[in-house]
Amino acid sequence: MVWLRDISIKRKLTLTVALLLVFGGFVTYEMVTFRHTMARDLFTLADIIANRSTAALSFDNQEDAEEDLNCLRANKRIVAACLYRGDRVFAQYPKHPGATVFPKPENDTARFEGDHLLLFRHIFQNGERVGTLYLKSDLREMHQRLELYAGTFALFMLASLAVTFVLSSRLQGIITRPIFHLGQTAKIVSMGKNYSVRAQKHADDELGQLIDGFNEMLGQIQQRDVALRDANDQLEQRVGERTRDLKLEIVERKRAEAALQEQLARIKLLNRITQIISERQDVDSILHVVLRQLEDHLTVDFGSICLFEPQAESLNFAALRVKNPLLGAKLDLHEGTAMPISDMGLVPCKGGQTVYMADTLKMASELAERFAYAGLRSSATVPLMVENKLFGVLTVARLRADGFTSGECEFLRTLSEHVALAAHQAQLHRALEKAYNDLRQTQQTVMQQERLKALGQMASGIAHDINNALSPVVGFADLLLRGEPGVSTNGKRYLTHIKTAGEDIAHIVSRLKEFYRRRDEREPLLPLDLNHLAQQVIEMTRPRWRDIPQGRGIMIEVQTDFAAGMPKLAGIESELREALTNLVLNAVDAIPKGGKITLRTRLADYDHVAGNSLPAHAILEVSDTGIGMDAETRKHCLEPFFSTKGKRGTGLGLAMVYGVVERHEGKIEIESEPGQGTTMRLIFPLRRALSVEDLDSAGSLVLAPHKILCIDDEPLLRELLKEILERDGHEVEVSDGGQAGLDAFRAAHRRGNPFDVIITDLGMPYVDGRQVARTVKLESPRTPIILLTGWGAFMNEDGEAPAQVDTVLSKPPRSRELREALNRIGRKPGGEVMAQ
Amino acid sequence: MHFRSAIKLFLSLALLMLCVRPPARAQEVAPSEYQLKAAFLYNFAKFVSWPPEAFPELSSPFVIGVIGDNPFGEDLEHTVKDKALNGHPFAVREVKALSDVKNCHILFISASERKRLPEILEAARRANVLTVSELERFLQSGGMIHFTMEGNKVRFEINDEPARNSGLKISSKLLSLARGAGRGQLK
Repeated sequence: MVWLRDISIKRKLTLTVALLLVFGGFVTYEMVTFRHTMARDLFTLADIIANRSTAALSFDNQEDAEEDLNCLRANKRIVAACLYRGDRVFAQYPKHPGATVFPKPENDTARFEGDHLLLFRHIFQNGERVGTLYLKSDLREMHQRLELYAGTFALFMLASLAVTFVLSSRLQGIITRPIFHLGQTAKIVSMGKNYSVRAQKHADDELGQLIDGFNEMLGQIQQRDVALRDANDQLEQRVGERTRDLKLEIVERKRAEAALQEQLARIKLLNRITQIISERQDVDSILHVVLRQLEDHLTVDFGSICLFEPQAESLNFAALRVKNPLLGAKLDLHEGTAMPISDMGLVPCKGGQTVYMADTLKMASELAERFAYAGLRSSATVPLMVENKLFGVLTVARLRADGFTSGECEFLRTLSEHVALAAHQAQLHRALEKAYNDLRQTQQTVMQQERLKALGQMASGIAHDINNALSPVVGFADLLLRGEPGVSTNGKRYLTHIKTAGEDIAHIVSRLKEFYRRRDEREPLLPLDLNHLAQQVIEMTRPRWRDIPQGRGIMIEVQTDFAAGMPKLAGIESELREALTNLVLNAVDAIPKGGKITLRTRLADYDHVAGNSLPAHAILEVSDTGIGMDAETRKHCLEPFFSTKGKRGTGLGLAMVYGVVERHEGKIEIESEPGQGTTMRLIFPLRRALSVEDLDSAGSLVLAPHKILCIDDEPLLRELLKEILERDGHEVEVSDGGQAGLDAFRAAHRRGNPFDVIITDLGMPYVDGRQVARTVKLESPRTPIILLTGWGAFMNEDGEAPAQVDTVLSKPPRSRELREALNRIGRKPGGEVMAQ
Repeated sequence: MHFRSAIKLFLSLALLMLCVRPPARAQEVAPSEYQLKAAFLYNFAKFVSWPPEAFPELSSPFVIGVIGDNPFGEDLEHTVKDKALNGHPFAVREVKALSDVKNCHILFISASERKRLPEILEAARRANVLTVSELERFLQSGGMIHFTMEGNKVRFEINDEPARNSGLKISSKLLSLARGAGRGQLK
């Protein structure tokens, strides 16, 4: 029983539990099956009894029914039974009534209750229920059976244990011992690696064969062990040889790797230089960066980049870098030094070739001599080519002779391509930037002009409307004052006030118009002296820049810086004076804490494109040391109604100046920074001025009376015109519209008494002044036409004035202007008025 | 929710109480002699089998005829009311003319027909008619089932032979219930 003893306790328990489980399962199965069988048997029994008792039940025969039940005696298990008719016990077993208490009948069922199996079964005859059968069976038999099983199992266990014990003790000698021996032998072999041990054979059975086989296997292993040891020795020898080979190979590889590393470093350098120069747009910076990188990473002692001047065939040192400053002094090369390419011995570069001087001592060019003198024994020069043309050269040099490998030269060549490209691009970029800046400046100027023009148009439009409204006020006040009898002294005074106020408004409005009004071609440009004008203005404004500020303890100094011998400028003196006055007053306003105002005149060859040596422009500057203007103010200061002076300023001053300068075909330049003062520069073109003699003395004319037709849709203006003209002795007829006017014109023509002059309004409903003019000229080309309009300024500007119109006058009509106009027309060669 | 459940339960119980009628007291009273006999007539039908030709059609009625004075009153009709045998609904008829005898499946011959018995049996013999009577010496006259009384219990005797001659098969269970005097050996 040794093996049984050796089996672990766990095993033993497992075994026992397994046996018990099997037994338990068997018993459970038996019980379930037995119960099942019991129920089935009972049902069978019930079927027989039910079938037998249908008649007895049908015919209410209790004796027969009990007889039927009585046959259950044969079955000891049945302890009670009964037949029900309806719910009532009809017959019972055993016979003694009251011996058993029967439950109420139930539907077909079989169930275990306590120690009994109960069964109910309905009895049918021809599909009709005639009664119910009840059977009660005890389970004694089943219990008996279970006891039998338990006994059998225990017996079996004991028997099997006994047999096992006997068998194992017998088998131990025959089987176990040789196996243990074999196991021990295997242990010795595996632990001591001793393959010469052999197991002893005890018998010739299967175990004997196993031991034989084991011994044989050991023999084979022993042989292999020997062979393996031999092979191992050989292998070690071979490994030694291979290691020697590998060592050699490693040395070779390291050499190759070093070369590769060098190559890589160069590529990296190239990459870095390329990246750095690609970030720059400035040629100088690019060149210097390249040289610096070369000095740092390629360890050259000298580096330079020269740009090629194709016309001079020379190389210009644009960037230079020398590692040792002492060397630099000896070389005597500087940025900006130019040398003919032939002297430098670099002519092959023009063809895109690299010039390599292995030993400068043996070369005969100027560059080689200089290098040799400075101690630079070797140098390499690569061309910078752009589109196959030499752009410049890159030269590097080292102290030792033959200091450049072919790899380095190759690198320099590659680098040169990138540098050339970058430098070229930088140049292009600079050119582009300049073009762009020029363009932007031009655009800004144009925009400024456009804005001013638009504002001017708007201002003129407003002026026109105000003038139209103002004309009758001033006109009639004037008429009353001049000729109306019976106006009291007070009345006259009031009328004078009205007229003055009206004229003031007209003056303001005219200033507004000044801003934009183009110079009337017929307005005379008289020669004037700018220096004189400036002096005049200084005198005129003295109270503003000296007396008033002094009252407040502020000192303002006015300086003049006049160029001698200024030629006369053609211009309208009054306008220029007003403009200059304005500038001076602005300057005074700009220095509230005192300072200096400088008036400067000079000549400038401003327009150098013209190419003539004569001074083309006269310049007048007004500078102050005041608060200056910021960019925004500078941008808008010429616009009408733009003012920084709050309520004190109308915003028309500089706008007027601008208008004046424009009319003189000049320019305004403004230099100003906040806190840095302001310089306003007026630039006038110089041209020949008219002489005074060219002009008539207008206004002092005595006119012959004309026959005049006045056409205007505004009754007030119509009447005003008539009054003015009639006062001058003209014969006046009026019409209230274009068509009516034309009718009157034709009627007079037919009568043979045509009008001498026709004055017509421009803006009229249906037939406007333009159409009137066209028709009149068509029918009588010689009849002069004066167009009267608030739009006069525009028509002059835009060239809108119809060809048929002889003169355009602005509203409101002034008697003096009218007179002048009539006079001009009358003087026209061939004019009908001439005849008079 | 509990409250509503409780109401539901209460209503259900109330409804149940309305539906379940108290058991009829009539059942407690022992049935009368003719009520028992009517039930027996009905039960005979279940333990006797008729030849197929007794029913011309599948739905032909199973006819229980009563000839002579009807001692059952309404009891027989009540017993077989709404009942059927193999699809044949039961019908109760009072037979007046002898020619009607052959249309019955079970013929109860009343005690009043003592004189006419031979003629009636003669009329029934040629047809598949189970003859039942309480007349004395009925079996000896050629009748098939004879009611007897044993105290207040109804018993019966059977003469199997005329039944077999008429093509009727009487279940052995019925035969075993019959009084010993029967068993068909009587002539």
